[in-house]
Amino acid sequence: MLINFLKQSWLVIVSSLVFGVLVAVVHGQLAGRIGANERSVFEGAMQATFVANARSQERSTVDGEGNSVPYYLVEGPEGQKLGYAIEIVGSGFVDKIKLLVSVGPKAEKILGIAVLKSSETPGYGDDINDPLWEAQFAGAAATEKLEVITTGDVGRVDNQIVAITGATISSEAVASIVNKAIGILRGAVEERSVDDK
Amino acid sequence: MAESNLLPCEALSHFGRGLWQENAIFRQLLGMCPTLAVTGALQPALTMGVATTFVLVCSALVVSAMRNLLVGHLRILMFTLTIATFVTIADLLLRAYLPAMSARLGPYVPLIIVNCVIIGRAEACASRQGMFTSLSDALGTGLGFTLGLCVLGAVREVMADGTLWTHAVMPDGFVNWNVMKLPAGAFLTLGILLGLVNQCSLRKKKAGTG
Repeated sequence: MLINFLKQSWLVIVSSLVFGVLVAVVHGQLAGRIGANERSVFEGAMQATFVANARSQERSTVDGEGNSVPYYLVEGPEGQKLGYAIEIVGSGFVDKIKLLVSVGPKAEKILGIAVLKSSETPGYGDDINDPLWEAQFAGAAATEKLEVITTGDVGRVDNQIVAITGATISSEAVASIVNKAIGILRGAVEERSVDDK
Repeated sequence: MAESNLLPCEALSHFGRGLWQENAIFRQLLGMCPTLAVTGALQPALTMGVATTFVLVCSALVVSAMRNLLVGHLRILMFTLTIATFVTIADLLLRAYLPAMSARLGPYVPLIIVNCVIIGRAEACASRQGMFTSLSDALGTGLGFTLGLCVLGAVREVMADGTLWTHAVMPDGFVNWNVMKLPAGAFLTLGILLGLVNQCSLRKKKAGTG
């Protein structure tokens, strides 16, 4: 039985091993560059939201499920507190969406969001990368949850996010990821203010 | 089953056929998904074409090298395994060296695995012919596919953005045809180009026989 099975499938087994090793080697060689590319996307988003020479310190807090989550305290060149930022991943329509969500120094206002990685449908969900759509989040209060509506004024600064036509799920995914991020950041800020006292 | 190695000139005829007579996009109408999806502009179209050609060539060589070992129903599995490996490598290369293009192409680079052109050539040519023939077939098909993508991408970019390779080419008063960015514009452009290609070859046939 086993001999018969091996006689038929030895090529599949051997080539799986060979191909696996090949992919692993290529991945190992390129992982450094890929990581550096992702890092520069992150740096670019940070610099666009805060000032160009802001410094960020990494800290750690705990999210709703008790997992340890890193976030950044961002300070300006003179040491003044500019705000907090967090990289957060959530489910989108096609695949995961990675956002950089930034709030002000008291975690009361959202400074902005940036989509770091997404694979949404081009022409529809992919419009979450449009700066004009992302600008809706800037200035919204971080004290209440964001709500997605279908029609409205994109320019108005409030907690209602106008969804992209034909991409409701992508829009709602981004809003819910931002809500989760704000929850974590506000928790972290309260934690810190308790520690500081 | 495996045929004996063809003469070099016969092998090169595969190259010409893949490039024009059996062009993957305009004649065989294969690989329509990436064709319509990534040809919004010239740069992503060219990147996708080069990535597909890379996978075509590598998988054709590997499949051709093991053509005498492929048994019955397992051959499709072997084709898919080979193609998936090289698509993964191509995706890693793009993410490392062309991150902006990789982000722009998004999920369509991993989707090269299911592109019918590649597994079609593996089945029709690479699993039956020697390495040189398979190589020229893969190069011809890949180049033909890339050319088709680039023509489509160029037309759509000029109509939709007024630019070509991100340089403005249309005069200032040009109003963008936004439909060209959407799938509807892709179908329209492809349909018109298909019509033109068919017209060309009909005329050639008439000139040949008339």
